[in-house]
Amino acid sequence: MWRDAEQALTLMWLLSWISHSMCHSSPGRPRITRCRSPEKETFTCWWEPGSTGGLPTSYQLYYRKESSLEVFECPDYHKAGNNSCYFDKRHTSIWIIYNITVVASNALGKAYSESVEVDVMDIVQPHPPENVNVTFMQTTNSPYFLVQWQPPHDADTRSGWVTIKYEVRLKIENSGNEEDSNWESYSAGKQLEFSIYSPQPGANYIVQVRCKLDQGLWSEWSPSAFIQIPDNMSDTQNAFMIIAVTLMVIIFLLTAGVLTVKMKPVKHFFLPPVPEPKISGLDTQLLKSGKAEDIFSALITPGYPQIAQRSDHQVEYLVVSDYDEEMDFNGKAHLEFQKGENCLTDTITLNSSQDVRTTLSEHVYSGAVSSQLSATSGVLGEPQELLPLDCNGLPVKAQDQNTQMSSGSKCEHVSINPAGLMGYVEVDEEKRDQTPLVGEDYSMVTDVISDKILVLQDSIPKQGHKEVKCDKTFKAEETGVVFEPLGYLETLTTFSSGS
Amino acid sequence: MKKTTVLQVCVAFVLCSLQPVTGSTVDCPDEDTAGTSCTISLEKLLERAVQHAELIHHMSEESKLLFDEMLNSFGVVNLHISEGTMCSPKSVPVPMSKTEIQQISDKWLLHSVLILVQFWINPLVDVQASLMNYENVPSALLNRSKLMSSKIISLEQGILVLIRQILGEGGLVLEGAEDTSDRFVSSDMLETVRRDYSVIYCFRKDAHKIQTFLKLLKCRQIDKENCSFF
Repeated sequence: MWRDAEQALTLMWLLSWISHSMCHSSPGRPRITRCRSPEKETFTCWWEPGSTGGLPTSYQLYYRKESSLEVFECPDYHKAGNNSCYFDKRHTSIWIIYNITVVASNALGKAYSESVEVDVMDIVQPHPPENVNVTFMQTTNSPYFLVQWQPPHDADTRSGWVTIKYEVRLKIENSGNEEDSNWESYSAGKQLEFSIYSPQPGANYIVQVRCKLDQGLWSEWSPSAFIQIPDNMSDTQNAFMIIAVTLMVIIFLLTAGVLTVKMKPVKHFFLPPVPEPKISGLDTQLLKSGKAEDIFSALITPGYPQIAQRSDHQVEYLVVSDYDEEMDFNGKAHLEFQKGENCLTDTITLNSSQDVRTTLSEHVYSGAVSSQLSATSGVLGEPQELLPLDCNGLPVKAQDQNTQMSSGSKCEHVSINPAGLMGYVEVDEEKRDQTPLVGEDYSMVTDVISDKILVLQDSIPKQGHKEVKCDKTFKAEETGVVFEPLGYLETLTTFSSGS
Repeated sequence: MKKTTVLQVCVAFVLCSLQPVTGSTVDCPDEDTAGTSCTISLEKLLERAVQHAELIHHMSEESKLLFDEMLNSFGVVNLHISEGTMCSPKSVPVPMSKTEIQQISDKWLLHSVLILVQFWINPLVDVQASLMNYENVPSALLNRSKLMSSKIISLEQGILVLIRQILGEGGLVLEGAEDTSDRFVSSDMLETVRRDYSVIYCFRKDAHKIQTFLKLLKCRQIDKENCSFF
């Protein structure tokens, strides 16, 4: 057993010695790894040696230019380091293909690498940009930091031999975080500086720049430049903005809420509604479509005096007053009623107790009617200075009802002051008979308001209506008819004989 | 009446005579060459020529890449471009390095550029037509070849104008360009593909040459002080 072990050992020792001495062989094939030209004027090729075969091996690089067969050797083996070949400007031609081969040779033989075809314009890769520095610019509204650099010193950009383009990248340094933040790249064109706006306050930035010549390869990234952004950039400004925005939002919400709740009063405040004259019971729809009888049948309410009863009479209702008296106008409404050519007396029912504001005098038949209604509800200013005039401009004082009744008159001027009170006054012949105001029986007179108005017993004098007839002159002494309806004042339409 | 007409004629005459006084402009010939306006400065002309050349070179680079992709998709792995007719040096030797270019005159630069441009017009047009017949050709490749063939024609006109302006020579039509451009018609698909690829591959180089020469020419003409050339 010991003998076997001894034999094995000697065998092994022999073998190793033999192999050691037999290690020498021709070299293995070298391999050209890369060729680069930093500025399109020179270039360098590097190779990787194969096995040496145990013997000292030397390497040569031979090249051939495109269309010629002449073989040249590398002009400079040392400038670019070990296992490299540097072609200087004199030996570099662009736009032609170099056929390059590396030969490894030792005492036992040679080995040829694979040939590589190289065109200088395809292998251009510049050196990285130099002197990269970053400065932080604090302006009030938009802080930024400025990256500046220089082109690589060997690139000839001035003559236009090469056109250089740059790219900047930056990232935030997170020393504490495990996760890697990503690089942000920006193309910087041909310029030598670049501004980055809105940096994060308090962050540490790492900035790098690289460049490229024409259509060549990108260079390596330059050494990093660091910058620290100060922390208190615009906190106060931000806070102020936030407060202002919040306040505005609150105000907006409040106004919206107020508006929705109080829509109507606000609307009335800004856009006061136009008073629209309306007579209750008078349907405007009927007016558009219906006949006259329908309209007026709607106007007739149970409270009204019955026209039907008096249909055989020519009824006229007159209220006469004198406007230049002071009136007591509580709750009164003035209605001035003026007629045009036709001068048909229109009587108008007013339900003044309810709709003082919105009473309307309407002229049913043709003729120009102007009505002026000043509505009061409790308050009136001065009495209106409406001096009823007749057609000729003479003031009307009193009227003889009878005479007036019988004739249709032109240019009637009726001013009606409904007292806003109730009651319905009618004056007709019968009544007139009952009220001998003409000057004979003053027993019913309870009060005299003015020299034109007499107040009778059974009614409350408020005012009077005047009816002016053009073609008759009036007797001033006749007192106006009184009516003061207790609740409201109306004048009815008088139907002329032909109604 | 007569006075006003005489005055008008005089004013017109004065204005017309002032035109040649403004220096370094190009008179518009009958055909519209480098722009719509009739007077264009040399600077602008050179700038436009350089832009054309840069665009053409960029397109040619991308065309080569697209063609490579297309060949890969066809399954053709390695299309060996022999140093055939397309890439061979032209009839006039072209400067090959920066040092050589530094020693060459403007006249030579312009002539070289013109030779190159005129050489490549026909092959590019042929390739563009031939590419239409391919199946599954990427439209980007078609667009780029169209662009290249149209831009090189306008570049040729610009170069002629430049020669007229800088060198003062008349219209140049260089002989010999017809000889080397042989119309290649083959029914074999592979041969057609090979020829098209060689056109694009070799044109890329010459486009780069044209671009470089024009850039250097511009530097020499415009920016004489800063130009390290010369």
